[in-house]
Amino acid sequence: MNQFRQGDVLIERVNEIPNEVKNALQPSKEPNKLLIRGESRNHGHYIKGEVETYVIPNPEIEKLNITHYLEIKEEASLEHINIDSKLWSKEHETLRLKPGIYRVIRQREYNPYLKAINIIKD
Amino acid sequence: MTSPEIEKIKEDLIAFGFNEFDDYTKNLSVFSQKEPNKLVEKIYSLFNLPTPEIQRAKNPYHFQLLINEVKENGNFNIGDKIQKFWIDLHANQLKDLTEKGTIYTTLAKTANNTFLSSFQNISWLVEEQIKSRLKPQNIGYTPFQSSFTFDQLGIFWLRKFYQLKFGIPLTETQKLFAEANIFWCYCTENYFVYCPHPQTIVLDENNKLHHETGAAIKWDKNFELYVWRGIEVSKDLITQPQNITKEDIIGERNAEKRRIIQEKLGSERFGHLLGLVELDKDVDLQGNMQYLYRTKEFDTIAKDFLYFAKVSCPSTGRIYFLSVPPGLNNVWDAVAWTFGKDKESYRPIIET
Repeated sequence: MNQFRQGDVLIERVNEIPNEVKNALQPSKEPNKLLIRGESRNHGHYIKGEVETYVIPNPEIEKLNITHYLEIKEEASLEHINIDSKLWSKEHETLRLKPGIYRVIRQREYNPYLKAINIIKD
Repeated sequence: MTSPEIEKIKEDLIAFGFNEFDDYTKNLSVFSQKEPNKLVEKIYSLFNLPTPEIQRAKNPYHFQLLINEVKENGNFNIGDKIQKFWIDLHANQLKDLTEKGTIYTTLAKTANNTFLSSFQNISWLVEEQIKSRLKPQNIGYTPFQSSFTFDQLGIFWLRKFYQLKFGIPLTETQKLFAEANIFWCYCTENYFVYCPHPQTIVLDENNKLHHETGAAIKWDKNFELYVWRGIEVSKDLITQPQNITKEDIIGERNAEKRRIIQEKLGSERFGHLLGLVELDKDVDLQGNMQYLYRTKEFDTIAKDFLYFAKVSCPSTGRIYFLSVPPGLNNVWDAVAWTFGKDKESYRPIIET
């Protein structure tokens, strides 16, 4: 199982998009789509290329925090860029992703006081 | 123009832009005191407009409140003449150059990539601060896109460069506006509301807002931002780090800000404050050591020990302390857990 990590985002190659996702969601075909927006910096992880993106409305943070499924038609790139200027943030190198199905998993951490799991805010 | 010639112009532009930026930050005590009233009168007269009522804001937040007052009083009439003024202010005298080649586009991109992006980051932080103050009061926010923005001071430098390099003159409006040197303004036919420049801007070596002991950007005591390498943090962290407690660290949910607390306090003090015991360590693909720690003492609020994975970002080398569930004893299980996995199923082949 191929996995690629860019900061607080893990991209994992999988065999297929689950039927419940395909049947319930309409994919976005935006060629330059913001997947995850960082909160303390004006940066985000963008997927660029011929990609169908399924946005999971309520990720199961307690289990596997899957935020998106990607169906990459032709080699695409995951870029970490400044949201305003659309320039590389100079923080995380670009990842090249070959055609295939991938899922996007967002990093999380444990809050020992609330006994809860929180999304990492990069 | 040959490619090496264009490269040379790009280098000149970057040097020119950063030089202007440097001069600007060093001369803020002068700029922040400027009263542009006479220049505003001149600009309005160029467009056959009577002298407007000029209002000087104390800071960007006050600027927003003044804009709202103007709007609430029904003086929202931008008017055709003001529209002409904006068109003239943003006139692109570089059309001929653009037609000859792509020099303008190339140089604008270069500016964007360098000194202009420093302005954009400053504007963004200030705007976020204003929004966070306006929201609880249910006061509308007027985006600065509809007015003159601080970013455009950098664009004037770009125009100034073109004037020096290619002899392309500024319009009269542009000259007057550059001379007025306003941080932000909002204007209608009858009102001209402006925000002066801040008294202080402190940047790090990468031109990001950064001040280790004070406000990185400040208008007055009511509007100052404490910023660590481009990220806004609490005033207490900067001015009274000795008062930071274990609860402050654990209570900070933002990993980047928690990392800043660690950087500000230093890893040793950070660890000492938390009283950590090393449980496991190993080297990652990039040769960085990763650690699993737990607190020495049982935490009576959490009713358990606190566990942390100390990981290095492979691209930036920054160290992050991530809180993980109690009971783990393997560093890779801890790191994998943050992605909902265990050490067997967490195997990234590339990390950036």
